[in-house]
This record gives sequence, structure tokens and C-alpha cells, in this order.
Amino acid sequence: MAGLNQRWVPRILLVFLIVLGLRLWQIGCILPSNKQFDFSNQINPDKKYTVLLWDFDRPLPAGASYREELQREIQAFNKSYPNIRVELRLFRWDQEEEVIAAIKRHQDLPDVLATGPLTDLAFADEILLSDSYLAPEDKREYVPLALASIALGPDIAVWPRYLAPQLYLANRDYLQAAGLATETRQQEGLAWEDFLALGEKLYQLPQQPFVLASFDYQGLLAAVAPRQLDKVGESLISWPASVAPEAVKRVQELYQRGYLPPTVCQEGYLGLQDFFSGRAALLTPAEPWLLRMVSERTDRLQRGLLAYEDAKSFPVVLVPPRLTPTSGLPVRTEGLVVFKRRAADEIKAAAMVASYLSKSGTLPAQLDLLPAYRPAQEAWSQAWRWGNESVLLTILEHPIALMPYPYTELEGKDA
Amino acid sequence: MQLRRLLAVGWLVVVLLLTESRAAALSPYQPRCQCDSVRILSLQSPPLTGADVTELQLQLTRLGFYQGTVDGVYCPLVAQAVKKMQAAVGLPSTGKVDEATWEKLVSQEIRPAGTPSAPPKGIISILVDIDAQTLVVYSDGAPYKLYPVAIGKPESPTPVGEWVITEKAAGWHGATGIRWMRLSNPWGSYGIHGTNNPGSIGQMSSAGCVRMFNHDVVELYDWVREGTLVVLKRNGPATLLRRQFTMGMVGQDVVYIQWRLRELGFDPGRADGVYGEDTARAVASWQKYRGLTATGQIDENLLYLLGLI
Repeated sequence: MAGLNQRWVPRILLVFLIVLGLRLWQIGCILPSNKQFDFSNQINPDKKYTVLLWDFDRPLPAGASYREELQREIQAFNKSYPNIRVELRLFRWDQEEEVIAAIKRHQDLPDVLATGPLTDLAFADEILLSDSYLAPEDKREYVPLALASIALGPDIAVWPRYLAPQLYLANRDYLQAAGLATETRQQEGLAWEDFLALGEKLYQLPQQPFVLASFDYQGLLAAVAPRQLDKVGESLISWPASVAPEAVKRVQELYQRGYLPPTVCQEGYLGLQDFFSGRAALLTPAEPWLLRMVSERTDRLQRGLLAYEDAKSFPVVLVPPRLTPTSGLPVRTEGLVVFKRRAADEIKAAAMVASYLSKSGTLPAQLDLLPAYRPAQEAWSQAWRWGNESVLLTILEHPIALMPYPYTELEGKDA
Repeated sequence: MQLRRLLAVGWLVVVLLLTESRAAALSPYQPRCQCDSVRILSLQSPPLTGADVTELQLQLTRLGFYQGTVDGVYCPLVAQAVKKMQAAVGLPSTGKVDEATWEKLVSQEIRPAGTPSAPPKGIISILVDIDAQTLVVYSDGAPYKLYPVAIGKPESPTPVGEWVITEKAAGWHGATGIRWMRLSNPWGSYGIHGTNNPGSIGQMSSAGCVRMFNHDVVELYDWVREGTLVVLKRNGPATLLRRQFTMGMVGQDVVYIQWRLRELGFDPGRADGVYGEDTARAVASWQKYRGLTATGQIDENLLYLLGLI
């Protein structure tokens, strides 16, 4: 028996060591660190790759299908890379929590995940940082806001895809009546001092319009809040909760001066009507989708689908917040995450899919989002046609973004 | 004696002449005098114009052969409609409107919507275009047959929406004609039916129902069943009398909200005029997707964004 043990123990040990070695090698391939990852690996043109892409289905107007639109982009990708098959799995757009939970549990993992409405990249250790993949000249083609707002520490985590900045929608007649040149405001933006100055001038008009309206009280706070750099680092810019008291104080000041609607403090306040009925000069936040709704409404008016006697019409313009080196723009960003779960060439194939999809031009137009990739902007402008796209695109060039989005940390609804 | 006979014959001739002239006067399209004779209408260059052409266009429209403008001009479209009508009633298809054609035109015996068709084989749905005053039967989503209809008067408009047939009844029912198919509209009793006034087809003449020629409604009746989808559409502004919408509300304005939600990519189910769970869910979904508070209710502000006020 002892002789048997002496003979078999080394053999078993050897087999164990071989298995352990293979496993470690496998783990090394599946989860290589970003620094270890060899990006010089090329995909093998003779090898068939399958990239599993998870995305969130989106409601598109006029019965269009997000799946079909995305499939069209994938087909275009396959013209250049016929050996990379993209297997698409679409979740409902409101299934964010379930998808995150599944990924955390490692139940199932995609190769590429479109973040869609995702804000929680809790699985950061397992993703390929796009920073280390993107060539410098390629990175320069993405607008600064997109690169700045999807970050993990000092690194860019995902392939930027779409953006939705928050702006002010302004009644141009009121801006002019208050002596504010629209073009100048569009270039320079609106700061806190401008609200006070605007309010003072509007107060002298016969109809005494208010300065600001918003969807709700939170929107008002966000509109006047001081935006500052967080201390964490330049690439991690947030709106610290410490500014909330200042935001409340500013809203109070506007309210006491009579520059805000008297109902603004009431429960369930919705300020859209204040703006669209001409009782307020500015509406915020104005994302691209709001511009689409306003434009569609104008279109319906012109086509006789709206009873004119009840409709009010006035010219609107987009104005950004005042952007300085220490104040950024709230912007919602979507990207594509690549997981490091397979062999190096397979990860590279997935990265190529992510890279291609992040450069889309027409699909974001249908989603009322802006393209993160600068060369795609022309196609986007042609397909979007809902508002002043030049203002929107210019604003994307600002280097600083605010995170997180939306504002959830504000407190003090006691103005 | 001979003189008496001559007087009697003369009297008889006078009476006969008078009787004939009165009969001629009673005939609808006989000329009252020589200058009021009926001219033969045909395609000419320059085209014929006048009140008789207007009348011709009205009659052709009434019977469903002509959908063009009633402008009193005998254009190629009118000639084409005349030929169709002549072929349908067994007259030579000349495009010339002579006495025989006029007689058939004013008669209500002719079949205006073509010959009977075989039942469609696919799934049937119906689209009533209120502006065009037509009813189109679809088979598996493809147009199968078109009928002329009468729709509601301005003071009693036909309700637009997506209804289903909930009841079928055969037999003569006076104003509703020989067949009746009730629609699922929840705020009134509306349906598709025949008529005792065929001359009203092609006009805004009903109390809101869709009125058809009896021979057409008989054909349609056999094709549809309870549950068949009937979509009633029209262009023009949405009329919204209310500014707040919550679960359980019913009305024409809800249909417009449902259609608009669908346009935006949020499906409220069938646009049935009921602000039910599906509609509330679609509203909440839209609100959430756009970062608004998902109440599932619609207020004046959201109506503005939807482009309905």
C-alpha cells in the first residue's frame, strides 16, 4: 500500500499541477488585466468569431424598429468583417436592474454591452478599458464631453456612443425684449447673474413673464445650482451634494423677487405650461427629445392637426448654461462596454464591434440623442432635423461634463 | 253629322296632345321646351362645362364611381367614371351620357360598387376613411374591396378610433336598412348598416353611423364576424375638451392620445377610447423613458408636449 502511494502521489501531483497550470492560463486569457492585454493581436481572418451583443430595445417613433435599425448597422459592419458574426440580444429598455443583477451573478455575460440607460458599471473589473484600446488619433474624433463623462477613475471605460446634453429652451421674444442678444447668449451661455438680470428686465414688461420654468421643482434647483468641479479629479466631475443648499437659496431668491411662478412650491408643480403658454422666458432641462416634441407640435399645427384657437406659438432658441473651466454641463452619456471573458483575439473582435457601433450617425438621431463620434455628426444632422443642431453640436465640444445624471442628491424642497 | 264626327275627332286629338304634353312634363329628364333639351355629354376639347355636368358628377359620386372634384367640367376622370358606370349597368361603355345613361344614373336600381366579389380568404379588417367617405375591406392587411359610404353629419360626427364588431343583425330595420353591425364604441350606439335612403350615400348624412348601400352591406355582412377590427380615421384637428386624463376616462379625446402615444413608439393597445391600464402603462412608460415622473396620468403640460393642444 505504501509502495502504491509512493508511486501514485507524484503522478497525481503532476496531473494536479498540469490542470492548475491550464486553468491559470485560461484565466489569464479570459480576464487579462488591461495592462497585460496585448492589443497588437490581430483577429484571424480565417477564423469565425461570434460576438454576443446585449442592448436595450428602444421605442422609436412612427413604428420604426430599433432591432431592425441596429441589425442594419450590424450588416454594414459585416461587409467589412464577414467572419465576425454578431449575435444580438435585446432587453426591454426598463430592464436595467435585471441585466446588472445577471451580470453581477455571472449568470450570463455578453461580449459587448450597450449601456443604454445603465449608470452603474459595478462590474468594472471585468471590462476592457477603451482608453487602452483606442488609438490617440481615434480618440480625438470623439467629442470631449463623451470621453469625459464615461470614466472609471482616470480611464475611459467604455466606447462612447450617444449623448443628451441639458440646455435651456428660451422664448426668443422675451430674450429680445429684455435686451439680450440671442446669438451672444448661445455662445456664452446663461449664468446665475443672467437669471437675476433677466428677471429684472422681464419684471418691467407689461405681462411680467417669469424667468424660469421647469418640469418640476428638482429641475428648477438644477437649473440655478452652481456647478463646480469635484475634488476627486478633473476627469471625475460631479455636482456635490454640498451645493444643494446654495441651489435652494437661489431658487428662494428668485421666488421672493417674483421671478418664479407663485405655484412653484406646490406639490406636483409642472412648469411646462408656464413656458409654453408664454408665462416664462426659459424652460429647463431641455434635452433633444423635448426639441423633437416642440418641432412635431409645430408641424402638427401647420398640417391642421391642432385646433389653432387654443394654440400659442412663439419662436424658441436653445441656450446652454454658462460653461467655465470650473462648471460643466449635465449630460447623459451612453456607451458600449467590452467584457474580458474570452481569448485575446475574441476580445479584440468584440472591441471592433463596439468601436464600429460607437460611430453611428443616423440611429442616435432617431433616438433623440447626439452622436459621440465627430465624423458621424453630418449624417446625424441630416437625419435629426428637429432643432438647432449647430448649438447642440457646439456644446458637445466643451471639455467638462457633470456626473452623475440625473440629479438625485438634491434635498430641501422648502423654498 | 260629319261635322260632329269631325269635331269629336278634333277634340280627341286636342285631349291626346294635351295629355302627352303633361306626361312629358312629368318625366324627370324630358325637356320642358326645345331650348331646354338634354345635350349629350362626352369628352371634348375644350371640355364641356355646365350645370348638367355638375349633376352628372354628383350622381356618379353618389354611386361611388367618381371621387374627383365636383366642378362642372367634363374631364377625362368623369369620362372614365361614366364608362365604368355604363359597364356596370350593361350599357355600351361609350363615355357618352345620353338619355339611356341618364335614366340609369338617376335610377337607384343599379349596383354601384361593381359586381359581387368572392369572400376574401385572409383575416379581414376594415378601414373607413371618413374624409374620402369610403370603406375598404382588407384581407391579411391588403386592400380587397372598396365601398362608398355615408358618414356622420357635422353635428353628429362619426367617431374615429379602432373598434371591433360586437353584434350582427339581419333583416329590414328601416333607416338602418337590411343589415346592422354594431361597433364597440363605448360612448354611443354606432354601427355599419344599410339604408332606406340610397341617395344619401357619399354624403355627410348619418347620425354618426357608417351607412352603405343595401346590396353592399349584405355582401360585407357575410364576410365579417364579431371581433372584426374596424378602424375609422379622418384627417383634421384633434378635438380635446378635457385637460386632465386618468384611468377610467372614456371619450373621443382618449383615442387621439392613444394614437399619439403609438406614434411615439409607446403602445397603448387598441385605440378604443378607454383610458385603461394599457393606456396608463404606455403613458407611464413614456414619462419614465423621458426622465419625467411616471404618473401614468396626462395633464395639460403633457398634452402640449404630445402636440394635442
